[in-house]
Amino acid sequence: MGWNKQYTSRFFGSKTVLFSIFAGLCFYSLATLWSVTEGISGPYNVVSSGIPKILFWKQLTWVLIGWFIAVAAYKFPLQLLEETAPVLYLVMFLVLVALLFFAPEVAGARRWFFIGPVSVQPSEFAKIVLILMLARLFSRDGNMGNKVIPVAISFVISGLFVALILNEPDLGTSLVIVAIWVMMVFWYGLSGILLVCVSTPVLSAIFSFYSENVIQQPWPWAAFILLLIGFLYFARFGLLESSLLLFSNILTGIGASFFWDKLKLYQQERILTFFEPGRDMFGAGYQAYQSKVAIGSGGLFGTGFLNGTQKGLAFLPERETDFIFSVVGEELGFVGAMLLITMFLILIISGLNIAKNARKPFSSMLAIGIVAFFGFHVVVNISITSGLLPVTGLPLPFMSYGGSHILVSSLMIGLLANVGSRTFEN
Amino acid sequence: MGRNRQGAKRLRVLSTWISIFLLIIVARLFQIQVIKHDSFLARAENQWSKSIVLPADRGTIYDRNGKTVARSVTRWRLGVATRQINSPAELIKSLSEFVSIPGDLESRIKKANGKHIVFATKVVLHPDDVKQIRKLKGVTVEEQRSRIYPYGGVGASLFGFSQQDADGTYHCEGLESSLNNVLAGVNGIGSRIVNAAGSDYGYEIIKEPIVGEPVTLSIDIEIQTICENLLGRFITECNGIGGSVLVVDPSTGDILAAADSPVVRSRSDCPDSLYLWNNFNFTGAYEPGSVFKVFTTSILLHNNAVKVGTIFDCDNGDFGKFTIRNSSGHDDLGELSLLDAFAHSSNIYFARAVANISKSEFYRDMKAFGFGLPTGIQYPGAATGYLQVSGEWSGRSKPTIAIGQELLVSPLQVITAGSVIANNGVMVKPGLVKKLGQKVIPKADGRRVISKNESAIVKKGMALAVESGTGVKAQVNWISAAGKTGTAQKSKPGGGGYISGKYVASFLGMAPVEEPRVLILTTIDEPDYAHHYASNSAAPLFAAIVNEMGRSTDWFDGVTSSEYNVAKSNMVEVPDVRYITTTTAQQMISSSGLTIKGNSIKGLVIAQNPAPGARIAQGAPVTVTVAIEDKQDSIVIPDLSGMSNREIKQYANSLQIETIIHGTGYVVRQKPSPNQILDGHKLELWMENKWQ
Repeated sequence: MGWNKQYTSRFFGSKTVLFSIFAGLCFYSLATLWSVTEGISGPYNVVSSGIPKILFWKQLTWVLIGWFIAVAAYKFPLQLLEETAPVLYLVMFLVLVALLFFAPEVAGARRWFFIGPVSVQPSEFAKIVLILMLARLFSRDGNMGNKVIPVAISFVISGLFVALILNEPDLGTSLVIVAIWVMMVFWYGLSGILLVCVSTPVLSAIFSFYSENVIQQPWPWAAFILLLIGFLYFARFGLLESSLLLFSNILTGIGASFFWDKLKLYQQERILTFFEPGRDMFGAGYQAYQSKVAIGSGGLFGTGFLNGTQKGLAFLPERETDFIFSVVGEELGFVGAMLLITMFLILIISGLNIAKNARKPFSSMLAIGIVAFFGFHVVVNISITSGLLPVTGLPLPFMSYGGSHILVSSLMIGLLANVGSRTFEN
Repeated sequence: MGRNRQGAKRLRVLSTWISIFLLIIVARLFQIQVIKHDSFLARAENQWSKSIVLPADRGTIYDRNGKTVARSVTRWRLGVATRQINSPAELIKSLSEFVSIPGDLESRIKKANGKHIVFATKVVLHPDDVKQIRKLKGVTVEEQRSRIYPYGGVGASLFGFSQQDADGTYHCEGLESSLNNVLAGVNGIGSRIVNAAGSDYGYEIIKEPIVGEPVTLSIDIEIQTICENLLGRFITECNGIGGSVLVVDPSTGDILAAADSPVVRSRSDCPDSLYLWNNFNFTGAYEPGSVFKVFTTSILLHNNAVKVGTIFDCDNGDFGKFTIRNSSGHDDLGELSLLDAFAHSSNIYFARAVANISKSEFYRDMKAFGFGLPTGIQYPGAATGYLQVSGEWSGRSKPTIAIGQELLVSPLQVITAGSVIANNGVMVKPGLVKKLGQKVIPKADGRRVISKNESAIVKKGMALAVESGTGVKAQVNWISAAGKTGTAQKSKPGGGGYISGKYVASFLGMAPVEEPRVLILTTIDEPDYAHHYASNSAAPLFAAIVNEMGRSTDWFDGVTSSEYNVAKSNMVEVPDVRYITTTTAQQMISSSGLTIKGNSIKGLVIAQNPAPGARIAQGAPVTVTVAIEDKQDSIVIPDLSGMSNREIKQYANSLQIETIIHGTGYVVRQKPSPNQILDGHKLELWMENKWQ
């Protein structure tokens, strides 16, 4: 039993496993992208897929560069990263500010810099920079002293990124940063009660929104507030804490409607469509509906590689980027989707294993940040494509087409293998 | 160590949460991919596939000699999926290598807003060209089924038409309608594939269509052509408004020709003038007049009411309560025996003679000849005529019916009854169909109606009528003939007397007398006064038809007669010049010793009259209808005045020319003027409503 556990620990987190998963995901990605760019054979002749083949060759290039970056990150001294994290953060901060002022507007958003033929999405790189910065912040004082001050500082440095990226606007990436922050704060050791206090106002906002905008009746939010009062009473919170918490809940509940008005119209539509799927079959609901149809029509074993009709006949939108999972679901079926999810699962288990056993706090925090990154992307992207969450732009790591995110994901896997090798190997 | 314990706890919390999320995802995927798979698959298929009908080819219709009179062909419908077009001008340029393009196509593509538009239907294309056109991006090519009639308007009301309506259903008339069960075949099912933008990717065949079965008719298309041509000529000469010719081989009951007039001018006429599609021979009803004396005589002999030697005073038409007159010109016939009275068509003789039989005997035997009964012919809407039940007859009904009044018959009923005389007392029911698919329709068994002797006497009377009676103009110099004329005043619609000066002249005849090879009924509707007697209109039409059949077909081969052989030796077979150029057609026709008639334009012959294989006199004209030589060539525009919008469209489509039409109604002016060349310009037409 002892050796078994030992073996498991060493297995999940070894560079062999991580790089095998890396290779497996790259292969899966390239195969799917090949299928997406392949035309479909009509009864008369072969008809273009609508997605040019050049995307496959570009992706192949990014993957090859990604491997160099991963190997470099695997060999890179972590000490140096820890020391330079504040510099990287400062540079990234300036880049994000510059983006808002100098980047050209594409489809109503300022997300990209264009360097020759290559477009760079700085917010992708902001994720890893923030992970490094938070890891450094949370590893400085060990397990001694007050944890509230570092958490407050982390709130500010993460919040700055979120604010800048929300202004691009890019809701998906903002949510990733929030998720990374929450998970790293939790790993840092904030108490569960405190997390409840942080999270109930968010729930209050959601219930308030649901009451006001979806069913237009006050009872869900009212019921939530009553439940909260009951919880505060039985959990024996003090009068002051209870009052503060209740006040903040009511405040965010009312604030939700102000925030709602601030959202872009298409974002409002997407959220409303999520709550009412039949609301707009050909507008915001179209993507979600088509994605479900594609995945559902795949069945247990799929329609077969290259044979997806929803993909080939262009019913599935964004099939080369955010909705590439739907192509896997359609062509390879439940079995193919499970294979893909299993690979991601092994990646996440490895990350958690490394975070748990890491010898230095910085390494542990770095690993958990990377797990948060992959975990959030995978869970949220697949939830969106299968209709569990409202549509927001979020790529599936390694799978979706896009240079910046391939490079960042490769970098993350390289760093994870780096930490793993220092944890399990001598 | 405390940190480690706390770390393990947090790891458990994190693992738990991640597991819950992943389990939710897996459960969700299982739900939509495995449990609700069928529903989503149906939704997916509903998006990209549309079920379509693949129309089956209709079966071919052949005449008795295996000549095709109707068959299905492939035509093409061309469209543009405008969303896929970047440069309309470039597309039109590449398309124009294969088809002529309407001038407004470019602007239509620009205005289409991404919708699919159809710019040409029923286009004739070579299969290789279809392949080439399909390679052009954004062009849709769909197969269409179309029906062509190689003999054009010949037999139009007999064969009818089959036309696919916009909703894909067929609208049929004539034999196309009554034989539809056999001809139609079974439509197939296809699945049309479209992408999200609505672009057409063609279709997959799910169920192959089953081709309809062929039908062989008893009609001889050459005899049909002869009858239509002669009928038309006689109606014009007699200033009639219509008429019909029904030709039957009495020994087999085969209907060889069923011509009628007014004729259908073109198959695109159909929805406006459906009545024209009813062939009068089967659907018509008229008072037969004196032709009916053939059957009155048969019935009188059959019931021993008269003998050949029975004599009546044919000048005394006084029947007490009413008077019967012989027709004018027959006032002083004096005392006549049966055959003389028959040959001179004395009304008084037969009115007197029927006093010798009872109403019920007369009624029963008329039924035995098929009057007032369905004919069972395979033609839609066939008439049963009208014969009142004898119990309801008035005092003068019997003598009136005896001379062919107070009852309505269809030409087919008269021919059916006439077959009794031609076949020595045995009725052979005429039919139109010889073969349905692979099934040969057996000849109907004859039914004896009167004795051989009785029929011989009637036939003798008919021969006498042609020899020296009312039917002398039905004589043909090379063959013996027998027949009976009928000149019936037209009754007012709805009964109540007759319309003065309006007649139906008819003639029932057979040739040769001994063993008749043809039994013919001719009718002329409302001939002018000079021709109102059948002896001057319907009887000579019979002679003309028999003559022409003898000269230009081999129907009477073996009838020994020196005149026939002389007539025959001067005949020349008409060559098939269809679908070749006029230059070659000219050579072929003149080398056959014939002359070509028609617009002297260079082009492609699309129809000819007489039909190929017909035998006509040396030096006689062959009329050809000419279409353009090829796309590049110029077109000579004939006189289009009086054509309707519909006809113009059909004409313009068939020649692939563009038209500018001013006003509505019928053509009153055209540019270029008749017989001028249309080179490059559009055909401009001015229409007015004055014929409406």
